[in-house]
Amino acid sequence: MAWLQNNLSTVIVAAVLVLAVALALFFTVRSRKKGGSCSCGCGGCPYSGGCKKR
Amino acid sequence: MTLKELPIGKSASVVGVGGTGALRQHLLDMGIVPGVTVTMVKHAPLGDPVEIRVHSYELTLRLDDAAKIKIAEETDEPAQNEEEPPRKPAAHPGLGESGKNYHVKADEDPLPAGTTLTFALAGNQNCGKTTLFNQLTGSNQHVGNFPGVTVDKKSGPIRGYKNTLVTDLPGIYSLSPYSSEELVTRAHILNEKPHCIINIVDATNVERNLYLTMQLLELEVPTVLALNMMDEVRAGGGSIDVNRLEETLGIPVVPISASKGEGIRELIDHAVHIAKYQERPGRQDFCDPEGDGAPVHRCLHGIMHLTEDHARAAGIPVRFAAAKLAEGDKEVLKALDLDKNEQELLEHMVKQMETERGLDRAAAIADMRFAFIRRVCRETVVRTKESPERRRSERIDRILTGRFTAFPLFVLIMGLVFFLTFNVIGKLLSDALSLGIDALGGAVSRGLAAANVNAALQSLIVDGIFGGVGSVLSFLPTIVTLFFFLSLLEDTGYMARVAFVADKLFRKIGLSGRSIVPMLIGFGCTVPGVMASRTLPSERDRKMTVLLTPYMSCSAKLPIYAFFSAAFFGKWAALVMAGLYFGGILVGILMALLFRRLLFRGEAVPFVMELPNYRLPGLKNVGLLLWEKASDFLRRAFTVIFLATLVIWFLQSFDPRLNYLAAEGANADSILAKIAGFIAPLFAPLGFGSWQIAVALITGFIAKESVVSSVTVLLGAASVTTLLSPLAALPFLVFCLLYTPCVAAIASIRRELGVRWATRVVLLQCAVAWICAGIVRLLVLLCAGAL
Repeated sequence: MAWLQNNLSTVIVAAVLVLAVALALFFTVRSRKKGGSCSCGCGGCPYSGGCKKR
Repeated sequence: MTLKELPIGKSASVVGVGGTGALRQHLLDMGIVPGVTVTMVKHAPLGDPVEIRVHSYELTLRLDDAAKIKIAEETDEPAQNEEEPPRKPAAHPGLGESGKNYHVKADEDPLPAGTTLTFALAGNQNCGKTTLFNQLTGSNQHVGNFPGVTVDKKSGPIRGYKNTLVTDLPGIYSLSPYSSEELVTRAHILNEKPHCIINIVDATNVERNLYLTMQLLELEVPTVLALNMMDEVRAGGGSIDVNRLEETLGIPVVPISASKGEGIRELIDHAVHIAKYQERPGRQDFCDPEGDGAPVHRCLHGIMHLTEDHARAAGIPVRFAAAKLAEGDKEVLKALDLDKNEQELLEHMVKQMETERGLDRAAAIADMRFAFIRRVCRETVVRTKESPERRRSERIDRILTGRFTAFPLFVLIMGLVFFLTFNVIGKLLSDALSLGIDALGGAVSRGLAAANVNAALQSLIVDGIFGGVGSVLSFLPTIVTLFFFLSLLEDTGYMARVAFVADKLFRKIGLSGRSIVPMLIGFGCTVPGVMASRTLPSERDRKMTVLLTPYMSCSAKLPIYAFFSAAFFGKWAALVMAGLYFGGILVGILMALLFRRLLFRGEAVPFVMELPNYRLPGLKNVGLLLWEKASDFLRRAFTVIFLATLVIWFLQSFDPRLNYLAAEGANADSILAKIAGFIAPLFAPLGFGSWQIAVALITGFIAKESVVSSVTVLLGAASVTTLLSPLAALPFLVFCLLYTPCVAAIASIRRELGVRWATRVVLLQCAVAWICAGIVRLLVLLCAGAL
C-alpha cells in the first residue's frame, strides 16, 4: 500500500499509457480486419473489383 | 485514311474501328462507331496524344490508337449531328407519379410496407454522381473534376426517408465487363438487385450518356433518369423536351442541377415512387426492325427466343442477356450455360447478322444503340453550338496546353505550389505546430518530473512519444497545404490536362500520363503520393507508380541534404542538393525501365480519357478533402507510428539484458546500438561504417528527419566531420536519398499493395541505395586520386 502511495503518479501514467497502446492496437487491428487502413474503405482501392474480401 | 492523319480543325466520318479487346470495346462505348463524325481538336505539345471531338464532347487518345480508327475523307465541317428542330412539345406522361393517366403497370409489383428501398446511382464518369449522392444523403464524399474519382461503391440513406439506401457506383460508360468499375456496377445491379436505378445523365452531353442508359433499361430494373447540369444547358440557350424523352424511354425523366440542388426533391419523389411500386421501364427494345439496323433486330430477337429459358434460370434479364451474347460477352455466355447446339446456333445467327449488317458484332450492337440515341436526340434535344463553359475551357486550354506554353506554365504552377507549401504556408504552419508540440512536450516533461514519475516512463513519454509522434505530426500542416493546392488543381480540371500533356514522356518509361500526379506529390511526401496512385485505372500502372514514387526525393530528406551539404560542401551545397534531386529522378527512370523489362512487361493502359471543362472548385469539396486527408494522417500517427516509436524507444533505452539505460540519446550499450553495430560493417565499404551512422539510418526509417536529430544527439558538441570523412559524405547522402522510405511511406505502400510488395520495396531500395552509394564512393575516390 505504501509502495502504491509512493508510486501513484507512475501507476496512473503507466495505466493511461497502457490504455493508449491498447486503443492503438485495437484500431490498427480493426482497420486491418476491415480490409486495409484506407480512410475511405475499399472505395479507394482500384483492386476492389477483384478483392477476395469482397 | 486513319484518324491519326486527320489534320487539326478538320472533321471526318468514322468508317471502321480496328484493334481488339477492351480498348476497341471502350472506343465503341465512347461513341466512336462507324458513321459518326469526329473532329481533330489538337495535338498535345509533344505531338501525342491527341484531342478529338465526338458527340459534342472532347476525348483524348494516343496516335497509335487513333491509327486504328479508319475515317472517310476529311471535311471542314465540325463534328456535330445535324438535328432537326424539335417538334411540338409532348404532353407530360407522368411516369413515376401518382394519379397520372399513363403508368407502366403491366408488371407493377408493390413492395410490402416497411421494406428498405435500395437505390443504385449509376452514370458516366465525371457526370456529377457523387455530387448528387451528397445531395441525396447529406454525406460528404469527395468529388473531383477528373474522370474516375469514385472507384468503388459507397452507400447512405436518403435524407428524410428512413427506409432507404442509396449506393454511389463508379462512373462507367457501358456495362461491358472490361474494367473493374464496370464489373462492380454490373455485379451490384444484377446480384444485389436494387429496387431502383437512379441513372444520372450529363445533359450537356446526352448522346454519349444515353448509351449507358439503354443498357441499364435492358436490366428491367425500375429506373429514373436524372438530367444533371440542366443549368448549363439553359445558360447555353439549349433545351431538352423532357416529356418526349420520358415517353420515348418509358421511364421518369427529371431535370436537375446537382451542384445547385435544383430538382433533387422531385427526383427523390419519382425514385421512391417507382421503387415502391416497382414500375419497370416501359421499353427495353431499341433495335429498328427496318432500315440498316434490321439484321441486328432480327439477330437480337432470335437470340432472345433461343436463350429465354436459360436467361430466366440464371436470373439475367432476357434482353440484356441477348445483347451481351450478340456482343460476345463471355461472362454472360458462361452464366447462361447454353448447350452445344444452342451455342452453335447463336454463333450462326451472329455471323449472319455481321454479314448482312456489314459490321462486326460489337460494332453492330454499338451502332444499333447510337442509331436509337440519334433518333431520340433529334426529337428531344435542342443543343447550343457551344456552351459558355466549353468556350471558356477552350480559351484556357489555348494557353495551358499550348504547344510552347504548356510545359513552362506547368513548371511555373508546380513550382509555385511547392514554394508556397514547403517555403511559405505549409512550412509556417508546420513550424508553428512543431513549436506547439515542443512546448507541450516541455510542459508534460516538467509535469512528470514534478509528479515524480518513474524516469523510464518519463523518457518513454517525452523522448519516445513526443519525439517520435510529435516529429511526424509536425508534417501534418505541410501535407494538408499540399493537398489543398493539388485538390484546387484537380477540381478546376487542370490535372486532367497535365496527364494529357505529359503522357508521351511517361509512355517512354512504360507509364501513362496519369502517373505524373502521384509522382509530383511524391516530391512533397511519399505517403500522399502513394495514396494518389489510387486513381490510376490499371493494376500494372498503379503498382509501377507506387514503386517509383519513393525515388522522388521527399521534403523530409531536405534537412539531411541541408545539414550534411553545409558541413561538407560549402559553396557547392546548393549544387549538391539539386544534384541529389535530379539523381533521384534519374534512378527512378532507370528503375522504371528495369521494371518494364522484368516485372511489368507490356504497355501502359490506353490513354482514352475525357477532358472535363474547367470549373471553379467548390470550397466545401476542398474542405472535405482536406479533412479526409488530415483525419487519415492523424489516425495513422496515433496508431501505427505511435506503436513504432514505442518499439524504437525501447530498443534505444534498454541493453540486451533489459537494463534501463538512463543516458539520453543513442547509448553504445543499447539494443539499438548493438543491432546498429551488427549492421554497421555493411556500410564500411561505402565509407560510413560507424555504429552512430547506422543508428541514424535506422532512426531515419521512422522519419527521415530523425537522421539529422540522431547524428546531432550522438555527436554532442563534436563536429559532424569527426563522424564522416569528406569523401564519405556524398555516398552517405546518395544512400539517404535512395534507401528505404520511412515507416509511414512503407505503411502506405503496404496499404496499397500488400505486405509482400512493401517488403520488396524496403529490400530493393536498400540494395539500390547501397549499389548507387558504392558507385558514387568509387567515383569520389577516383576523382580524389585515392584509388
